[in-house]
Amino acid sequence: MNWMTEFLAKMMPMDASAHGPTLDRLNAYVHVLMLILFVFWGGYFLYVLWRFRAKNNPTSSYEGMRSHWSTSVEAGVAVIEVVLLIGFSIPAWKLWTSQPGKETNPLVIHMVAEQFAWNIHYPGPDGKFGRRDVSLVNATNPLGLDPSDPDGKDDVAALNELHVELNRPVIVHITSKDVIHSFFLPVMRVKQDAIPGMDVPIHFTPVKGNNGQQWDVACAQLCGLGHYRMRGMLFVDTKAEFDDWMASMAPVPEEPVPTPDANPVPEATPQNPPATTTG
Amino acid sequence: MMKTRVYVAVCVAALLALPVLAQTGTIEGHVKLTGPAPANARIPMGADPNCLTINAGKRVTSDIVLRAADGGLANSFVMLKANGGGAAPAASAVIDQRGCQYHPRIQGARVGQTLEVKNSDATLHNIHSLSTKGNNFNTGQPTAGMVFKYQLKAAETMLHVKCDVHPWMSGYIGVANSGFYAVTDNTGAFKISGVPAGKYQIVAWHEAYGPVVQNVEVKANGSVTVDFAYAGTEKPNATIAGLHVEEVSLPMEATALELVDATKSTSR
Amino acid sequence: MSQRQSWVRRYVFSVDHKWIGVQYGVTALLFLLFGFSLMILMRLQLGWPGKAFGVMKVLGEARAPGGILLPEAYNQLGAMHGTIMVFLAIVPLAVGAFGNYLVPLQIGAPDMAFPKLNMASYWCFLPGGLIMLASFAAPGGAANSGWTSYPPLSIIATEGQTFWLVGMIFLITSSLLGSVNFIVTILQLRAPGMTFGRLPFFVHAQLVTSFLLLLAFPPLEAAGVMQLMDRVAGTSFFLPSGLVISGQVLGNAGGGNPLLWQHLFWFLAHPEVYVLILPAMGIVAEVIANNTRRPLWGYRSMVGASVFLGFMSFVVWAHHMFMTGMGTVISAFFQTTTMIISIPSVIILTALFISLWGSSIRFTTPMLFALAFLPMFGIGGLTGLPLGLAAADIHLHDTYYVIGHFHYVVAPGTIFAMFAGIYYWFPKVTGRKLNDTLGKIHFWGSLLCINGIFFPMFYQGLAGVSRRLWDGGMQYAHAKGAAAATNPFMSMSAVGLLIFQLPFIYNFFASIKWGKLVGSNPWDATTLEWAAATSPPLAHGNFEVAPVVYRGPYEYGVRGPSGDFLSQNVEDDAAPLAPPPSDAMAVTA
Repeated sequence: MNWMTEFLAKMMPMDASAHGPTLDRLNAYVHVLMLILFVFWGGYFLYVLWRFRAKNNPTSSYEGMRSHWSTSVEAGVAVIEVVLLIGFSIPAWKLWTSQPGKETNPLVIHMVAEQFAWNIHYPGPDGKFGRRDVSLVNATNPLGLDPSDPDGKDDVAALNELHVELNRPVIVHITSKDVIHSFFLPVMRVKQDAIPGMDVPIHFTPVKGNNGQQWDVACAQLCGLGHYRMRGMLFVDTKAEFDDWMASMAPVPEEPVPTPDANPVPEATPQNPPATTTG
Repeated sequence: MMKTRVYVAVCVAALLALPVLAQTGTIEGHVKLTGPAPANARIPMGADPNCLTINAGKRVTSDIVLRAADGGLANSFVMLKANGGGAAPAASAVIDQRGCQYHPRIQGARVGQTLEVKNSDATLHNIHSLSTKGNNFNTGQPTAGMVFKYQLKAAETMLHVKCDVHPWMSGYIGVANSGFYAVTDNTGAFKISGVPAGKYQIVAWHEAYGPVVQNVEVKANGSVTVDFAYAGTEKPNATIAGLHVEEVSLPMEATALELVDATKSTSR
Repeated sequence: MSQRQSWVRRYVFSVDHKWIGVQYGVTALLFLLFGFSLMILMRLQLGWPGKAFGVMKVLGEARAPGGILLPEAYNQLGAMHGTIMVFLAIVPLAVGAFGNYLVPLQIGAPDMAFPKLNMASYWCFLPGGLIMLASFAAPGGAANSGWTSYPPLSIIATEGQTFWLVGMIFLITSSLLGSVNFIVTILQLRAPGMTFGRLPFFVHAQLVTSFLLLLAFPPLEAAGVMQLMDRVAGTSFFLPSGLVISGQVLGNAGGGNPLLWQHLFWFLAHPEVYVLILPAMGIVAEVIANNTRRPLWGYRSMVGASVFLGFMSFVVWAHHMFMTGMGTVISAFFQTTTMIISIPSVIILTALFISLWGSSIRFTTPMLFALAFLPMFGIGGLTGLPLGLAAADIHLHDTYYVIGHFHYVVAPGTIFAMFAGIYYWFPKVTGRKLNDTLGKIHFWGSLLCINGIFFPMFYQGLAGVSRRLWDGGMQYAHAKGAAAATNPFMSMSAVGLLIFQLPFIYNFFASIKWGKLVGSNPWDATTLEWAAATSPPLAHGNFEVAPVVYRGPYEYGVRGPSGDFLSQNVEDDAAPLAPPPSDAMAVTA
């Protein structure tokens, strides 16, 4: 059945996750079953249309087909469906819902979707997530991180840029601030609805790096007028690249800096409106 | 003979106009931030590759607090509480989405004036007003060059607009009942002219520090100075209705439901 | 019975099931055309995203400034296309039109059991449909949260959504009134001799459909009222606490769950899809039996499978919700029931396929549509398999694969069956035939174009092109290749499909006036509407003489008084099965 896996792979995005081959294989097997049934019935259909057209066969047979081979076909189809279900799909789903244990050192991330962006909350070196509070949400703090929480001092809040480490399992806790979105990573064979009021953890392990390719996070549940553009970017970094990136992200939110000249005099720009209106 | 009549007519006209001219004054002053300015947050332009390209990789900050060396606070909206009066507004108040930011960030407009929202970026911007006074709109502008026009319906200080695609994009429009408003420049200075003599309340508002109200008396033909000062510890909570509302309960009445309305789109 | 009725009583508030069937039919076809037009606008946008189209200006400046469709307007078109096609077009056509018109005739009854209820059902449907259409004029436009109306999006949406909910309440009420009527009629008003085993398969299909409507719609009506209350009365049935909409905390009561809506919605909407397909299968069965000149193979299996399908349809709904955070046990349950429900569908399709064996196929226009239904529904059904297996669904959920799947079942599936029914029963309703040449042009053009629209969707889905995207996927690296390669072609096919409906629209109206006149049984059919009633049937009571039924519905391929068939109401003894001399068996197409 490899030919079907390869045929489908030509149409599908590349697969860069550890669990991807299991899902793709199930998909291929189902498509083999579909192809067999379609070719078989399609061939039969075209044959009977030709053989039993009125000009060819002016007198119909009252009894028609006597043998009951169709029952065997039905039974065969049912058996194959059972095999696909019990042998492949249900175990694959179980794999999908089981979280990796602590011993694998997973990278745990919180992802809060909103109209129309992906807020990604990293716990930072201390591995603890700072408190989030909806009443603290504003334009520069979309996650609502609490600046007074010591656990949150080293947290990193990213917008639309999801960085993960090659070969390190990732657990993403998915939720939403406003409406239902869906976290879809095509190259990782990951999809999970982001439902407000719920926190659903999913996991995957990236086994390939970007190599300069653009890998997207897509929204897979209609969320408003910006749904078509709710795009994030997935970066699979080496450990060094990942650590560098984390270091480059300023911890949030910032406390007021107690220096007298924190900001130079802003330059006059065309967009700075005139100070007077005439009377 | 003719010349004399013209001469007399002009004098009479001037005499009649004099009372009008004589009755207006000017208010000017500064808004200052006496305490130190907080750092402005960096804008993660990388969240949208289009924005990153448009800004050519520059490090851009959200210019919320722009404080001059002497404390002058730019981008403060100053308004006289007056019902009517002042010059007729310009055709439109324009807000331009350029470089994935609103330009200008803060501006004033008058009730009934048209707000023109331009998209100068080759990316989707979704201008969304969070109005509690009926100035509701929520529309997408997927391509560059699109212009959306909205006639401002009601006075609102301040009408908050934001972009739902780019969370850092936040702007304010002070929709006034009169023409007596201004926005401070980079030195924190403002000037409002042509104010009829009398006593008024004057309010200054800054997006990080909220409103401050003072009383002012304008003398005919005179200029009065009003200065505002923020310590830097104020929080932008709502003390004047419509400003930066953070939480509203949702009884069955229309007022609170307007918060939900703020996310609905009405175009006119 | 013969008193003169006013024009209003006769034609507006008619209680005659035949006229009500015509009312439903014409109204539904108009809604079908409207829903189709919305799709054309969407396909123009998808084929050439962001391009200005003159025709787009019909939507107004607010929705399409300068002829460029805005994303929020695209969402309106999407939500309304789905809603209109399912609730205003297909169900009213399949059940309200065909069901209403034919069920009393096929069982030998003078009318439905509750004629006034029948009238009330139409007059709930029409206002509901008009309210839905009126939503386009609401501030902010029509509903735009998908035909599925998931909260919280649908609750913070513009006013059009309120219109949608009110419209749905009318439509659901209409279906509930109608379904009660059908069930009682079929159970109580069958002519003497019309046992359940002698009912045309179409009637069995309508009976199961009515039970589905009766039992599955009430939860959605309740959910619709709950969502309406969340929108206008400050409740939080579907809104959790702590929502932040556009940077502002929504101070609602909270404590609700968006998934509750999904469960209640899909509890209806899954049986609803069987409501969409069963009458279609019924029509196809009738047309195939008639045009193969032999009985349906496996009639009993088909009936049993329909009933089983009806039962199973109530326990599969959450296969639409696999991605909501479902655990292994629940997912296994729904995957299993979904696999099981594929069996009765396959049984029915197999029986129809095997009915062709040994037959004498007349390629009449209705038969062309009925035959095409088989492989098209087959593709639709087969592509449901990877979607029903949760692990394969991870990649395919909410992509164009799903859209291709259900459109194959409904568009070249159900709608082709509807066309088959129109071409087949038009002579019964009007006494005239539709033109054959135009019919064949309509058929071949539609078949070609419809596959051009929907087959590439499977490729798009595998490539990861998500649903409901204003620009068809052009923003995403993984999707834009597939999107750019296929969207323009699909859109051109859609325009082609529009062009090929024109011969049908012309044919429909022209034939009412100038179509070839026919007698009561131009197709040489066995069922009672053909055998015992005139074309059109008597206005009052349908039959001059109340029919008595002596045999099953598909006695073709036997020697009968009028040819190679024995109608249900003919008392003659069953003729020998040996074929008569060939000229007596000549059948005309």
